[in-house]
Amino acid sequence: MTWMGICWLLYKMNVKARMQYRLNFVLMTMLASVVTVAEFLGLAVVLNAFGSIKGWSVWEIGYLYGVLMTAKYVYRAFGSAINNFEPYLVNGQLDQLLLRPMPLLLAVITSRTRMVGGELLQSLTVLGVCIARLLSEGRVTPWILPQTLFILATGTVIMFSVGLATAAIGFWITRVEDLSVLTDNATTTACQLPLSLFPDWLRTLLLAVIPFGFINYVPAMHIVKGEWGGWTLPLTGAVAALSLAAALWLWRIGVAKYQSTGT
Amino acid sequence: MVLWVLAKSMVRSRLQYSASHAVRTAASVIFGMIYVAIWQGIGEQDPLGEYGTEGMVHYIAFNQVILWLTFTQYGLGLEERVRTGQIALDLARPVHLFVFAAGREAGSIAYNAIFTALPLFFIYDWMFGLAVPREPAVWLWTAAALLMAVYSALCIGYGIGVASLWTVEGRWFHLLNYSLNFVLSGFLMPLQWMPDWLQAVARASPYPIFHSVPAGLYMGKAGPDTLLVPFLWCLLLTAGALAATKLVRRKVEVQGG
Repeated sequence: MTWMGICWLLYKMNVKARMQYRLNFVLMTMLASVVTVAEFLGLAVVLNAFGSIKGWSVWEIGYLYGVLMTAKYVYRAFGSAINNFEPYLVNGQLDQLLLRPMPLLLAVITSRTRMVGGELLQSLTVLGVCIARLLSEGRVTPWILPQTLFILATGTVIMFSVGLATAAIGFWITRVEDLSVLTDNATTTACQLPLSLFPDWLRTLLLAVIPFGFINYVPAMHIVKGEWGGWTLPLTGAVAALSLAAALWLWRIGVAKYQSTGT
Repeated sequence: MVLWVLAKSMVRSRLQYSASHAVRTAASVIFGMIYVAIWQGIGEQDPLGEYGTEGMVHYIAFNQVILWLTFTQYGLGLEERVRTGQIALDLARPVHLFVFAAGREAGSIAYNAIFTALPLFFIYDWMFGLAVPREPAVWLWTAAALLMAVYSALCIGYGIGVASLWTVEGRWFHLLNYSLNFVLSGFLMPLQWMPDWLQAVARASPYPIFHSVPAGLYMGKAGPDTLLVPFLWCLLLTAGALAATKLVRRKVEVQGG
């Protein structure tokens, strides 16, 4: 059996384990949907009251939101363990995974699965509605569909890379939950909006240090706004590849430095 | 006395992770700046009514500061105690479970007030020239509103924590509470600018206690009469917390040990 086959098997086992508690599973799916709808509602209410922000219409900002959140939930579906890595270091759970006869990163990823059906449905609905509206207004061409699929893939890779780098820093500082508030939550909140809103230092941070701006804003400047050239798409792909390479490098060094913290 | 001891022990425990706390404070500064940037952007094209752009920047900055006073940990930490079976011992203590959980959390909130809210206040004052009221009465009413907001947050957090006894997915109630707070409390925009239907939902909920009421008082947009609603919610939520404890005492089912 290949590594992919083993991963798929472990993923299915995790899903089955989660569905053992049927009532909890249904409750979790329903609550997750309400939570994500409520989060979007906060932004939508502001946009609805004022129409647009700095030349970005409600539908264009909705597109940014849809791309970002879809990439986030796809990443969370398979990278939930990476996103919540602190307990593995604090409780010594990583020691057990180190004993498994498979690459550590795969062992970590397949050790935990999060069901994201409710959240994905919400983000894809927002994305679909915004794309349909932009198409009907003639502001974009049907090319938006393959281009969006491409940036969803690169966006997921960037999300995963930043999550992996944050987790890897845990090999040195152990407690990474608060750091992930900065690298994941704050950046996600910022990138739901056009980066042109923010001061230069924050924009630079979101493009050069934690490149979440490449998940949606940079490619959207070409796909939706048509203000930047087609070069934004290969550049986005390159940033995703570089981010992944850098995160994997940091992870490898971190694993070599790992000292069990015990329980 | 018990409350004081519990709160003090929690402050000591929180002091252990000062580096990680500094990172969180930095993240909070950035969160506030993101929300401020939204209103600065909107302010370029709209006069923003009675607040104006500067007023809205102060409104958002003040809300980001006080957010840390009502920010409780998931279920006041009760979920972990249910999972490990510790809850059975907690119920046997000669202290009411609500007092025990709320006392510990009060220490955490005091820590947040000193080490997050206060630094944030000074940082935003430096960055945005945060409006500082001169009338002592405004400070008094704002403090009263904040005290009731903290107490209400403790009651709601307790309700979420107690839910861990009946479901293993209690964390979602915590997230739901956080999301509803974000939308309905007036954190991101004053309630009066929301659509009528959402305003009605918000006003029927306890969430405006957390931001709309204290921010309105602090900015001089509301009078002390607005404190009546938070006071009634405190009574109602206390009754809810007591009733929940009664239910818990009837049957305790822990997840392991």
